Amino acid sequence: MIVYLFLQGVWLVLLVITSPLRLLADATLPAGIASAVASANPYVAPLNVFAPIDVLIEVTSAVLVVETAVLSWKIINWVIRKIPGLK
Amino acid sequence: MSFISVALCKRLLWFGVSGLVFGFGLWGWWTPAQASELFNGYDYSDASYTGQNIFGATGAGDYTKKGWTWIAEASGTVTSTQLLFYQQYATMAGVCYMYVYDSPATPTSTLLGTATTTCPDIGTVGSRALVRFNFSAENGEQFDITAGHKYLFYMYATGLGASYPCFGTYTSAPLTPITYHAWKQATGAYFQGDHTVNAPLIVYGSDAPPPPPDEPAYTHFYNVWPSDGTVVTTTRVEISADYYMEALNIYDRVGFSVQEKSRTYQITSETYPGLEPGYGHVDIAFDLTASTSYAFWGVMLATPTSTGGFLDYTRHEFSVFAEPFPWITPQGINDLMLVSSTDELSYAECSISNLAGCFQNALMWAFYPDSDVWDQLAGVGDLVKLKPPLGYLSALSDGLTGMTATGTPAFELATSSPAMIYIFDPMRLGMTWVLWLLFAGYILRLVGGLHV
Repeated sequence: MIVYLFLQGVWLVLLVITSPLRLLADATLPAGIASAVASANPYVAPLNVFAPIDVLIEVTSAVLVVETAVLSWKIINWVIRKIPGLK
Repeated sequence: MSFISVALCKRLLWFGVSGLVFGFGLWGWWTPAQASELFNGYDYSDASYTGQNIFGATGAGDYTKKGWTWIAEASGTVTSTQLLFYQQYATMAGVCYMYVYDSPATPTSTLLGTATTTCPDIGTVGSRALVRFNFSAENGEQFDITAGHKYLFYMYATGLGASYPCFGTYTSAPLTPITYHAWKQATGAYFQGDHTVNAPLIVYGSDAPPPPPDEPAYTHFYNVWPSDGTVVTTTRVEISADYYMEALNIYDRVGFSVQEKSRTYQITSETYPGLEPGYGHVDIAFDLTASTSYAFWGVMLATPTSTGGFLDYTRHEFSVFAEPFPWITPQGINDLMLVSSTDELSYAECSISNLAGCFQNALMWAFYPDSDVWDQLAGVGDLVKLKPPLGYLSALSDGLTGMTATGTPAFELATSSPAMIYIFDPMRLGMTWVLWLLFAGYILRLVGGLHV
């Protein structure tokens, strides 16, 4: 029961942390990007045998996603600080 | 207030972490004991296996309604009153339902239990394609049985736009004793006794001659080799059988048919040796194609008239599986059984004569969490993986799977196997590690710079 309650607590914390994200709609790639990825796959696939092109793209995309998220957070904070009366 | 909250959190954290460590220890100590009890009496290193298919197919000639049931039990013979269903195959997709009925007379009266699972995504397969199902214990695949009763085992699937039965089988004899079925991983053919259609009794692997004929056109295979349960470790299969045929005329024939197990049956080999009335012998040898399932028929046709119609025939059928069953290695069997039977700890008896059981129960209550909690935590990533911004990454990652999947590349680069094995594969693996380590370093630097 102790471990059960502990894990339930962890679960609740995770639910709270992820709640803002879970309110958003599911993300889908723009049709143009999805189409471009699908079109590029057959051409990149032979090179992917020698070098991890897919991993490179995934890591680069992940960095972009994180950087975008950080930038968005800074913009939101900047906007909030512009509201008169708020520090 | 603040001090109390922090102290409470610290205590909860301490108890939780300690309990986790203790719970894992308890699980690790208990499970092997249960496993050894479960597997007692069976040597998985043995190259052969014992067992038989206890379920005869009821859908004669209807291959969408046939299947095999492996039943696992501790000693190889079901002497207890529980059956453990842990593997099936059938042609199905979507959500599978399993029903087990019990009746002392007819196998349709009392519903013992049901189990559902998600069928493997098997796509379009032949009717004899081997598909693994594993009904876990919490889904109720373990049923109490009563000696002398008959049981109906029934599965069907939904999800393809319609519900249809996959197969319905029932025991043709009281269930005690029953031997389980255990497959060994080996390259070669696996023979699994199936059923007879419109035939007299088939005697597997017996040297005894058939009993005196008591039917007008009496045909009979006996002493068939490989017999039921034989494992042939090559892909060249030689089968021979003795037979008895009473009548003989222009349409009489005896031979073997080997058919691939697909929706469209293709006869790939058939022989019609010269016939003599009475006892005879017939042989056939054929090569199996890897990863293909076959069925084998010993066919005897006879007609007492010259009208050309087959008035009577005997078809002895059993299956030749050319698939090596890669998932059922000895370790795999252990894994399957562990997952399906001992994944959950059970409470011990608590009485004055078994105080240790009370102690165990107390420890389990305190430190052994419900498996649902683990499932809950394991699925935490699913909560946000489709939400922005991670959802974009997931979508991109899904899109990139075409790069490594079975898609046709636009061009081919010349490679040689040794160069790939010794140079490019290690180099690619190293580059992959470097890329992910760089990403991990980037995340660490980012998190370290956060000021919340």
